[in-house]
Amino acid sequence: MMNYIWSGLFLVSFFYAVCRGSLPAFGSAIVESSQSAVTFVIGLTGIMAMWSGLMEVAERTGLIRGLARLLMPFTRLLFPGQKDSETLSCIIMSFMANIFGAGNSSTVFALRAMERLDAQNNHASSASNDMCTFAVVNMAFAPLVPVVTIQIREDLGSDAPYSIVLPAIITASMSVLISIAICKLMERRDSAREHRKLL
Amino acid sequence: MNTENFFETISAAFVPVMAAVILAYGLLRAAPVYDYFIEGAKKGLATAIEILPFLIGIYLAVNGLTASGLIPFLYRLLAPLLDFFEVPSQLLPLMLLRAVSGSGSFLLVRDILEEVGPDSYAGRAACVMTGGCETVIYVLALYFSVTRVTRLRHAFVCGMLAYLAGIAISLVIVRFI
Repeated sequence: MMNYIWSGLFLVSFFYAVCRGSLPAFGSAIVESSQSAVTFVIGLTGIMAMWSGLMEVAERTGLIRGLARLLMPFTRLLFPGQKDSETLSCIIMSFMANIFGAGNSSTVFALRAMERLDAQNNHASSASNDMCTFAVVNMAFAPLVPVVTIQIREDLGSDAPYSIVLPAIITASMSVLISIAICKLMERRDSAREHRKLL
Repeated sequence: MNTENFFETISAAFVPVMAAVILAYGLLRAAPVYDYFIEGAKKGLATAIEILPFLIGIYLAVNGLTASGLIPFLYRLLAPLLDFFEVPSQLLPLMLLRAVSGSGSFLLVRDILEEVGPDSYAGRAACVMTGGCETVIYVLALYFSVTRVTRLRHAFVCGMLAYLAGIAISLVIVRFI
């Protein structure tokens, strides 16, 4: 999918640039962009390493596992049919890592959870309810502290770099609730349809 | 203490308090926290390098898009709608791009903040948007890549709806907090 979006985005811009005669500007923007990407990553590296170090400590000392256990009732609510505790703990770990801003650990757990869900789904071509719920809810989950955003704000001399933390948390929790509601509604619609088919 | 200060204090305390809790908990369990930290930091460095090619790709597409003049054209199409909801025009590229790329949107946030200032309404809304909305298309592509699933069923629609809701909420909430 990324394949089409990425190349599509590029080609559409290219053709528009050709039509408007802004091809030279387009060309130099492309060359500059790779340079700016490198500069950006260099600025980002320190904070990334620090956070990743703290996450490693939290993970290896069992702090994340403990919090995951605390959240067990919540996940039972989201995945009522899910009996497999290892799948559930992968799901919770992914949520937790996400909240703590460790996007990559979250992805690792998420992929493990998806593999297990796929096996439960007998590798069918159609996604299971639990897969949809998990993917959508994990997407809506956001880091408690958006570190990169705060860093950018600090760099640009904001008076209150942390002032966006609370609104971001509220936004994320509301979209988590909304995504759960939509998911459950669509599940119900699908199962009603199945039911009618059987009759 | 007024509410604004209160929230500011809570928000500012998050990172240091979290770091302190993590380290204190580790020490209580007699874990070699320093070694763990160094190991994790190494992984963080590796991650920074890992995302670089991805970033270059995204930056390429996004910068090309901006330089081509297509965004102002799109803006002219969408302007009545944005104006109706009193949405600052600088936020449009971010609203479109956030669904595709996390790292790319950070670059955009930086550009937006440089233009409008980090403490302006548009600047704060941009930050909340990146903090509270996820990269729907990227995540779906990645997650389902390890399965045999070809029909996503409601995952795509739900993801997009939640994403749009997140954008709307962030635009509203920044007016109050």
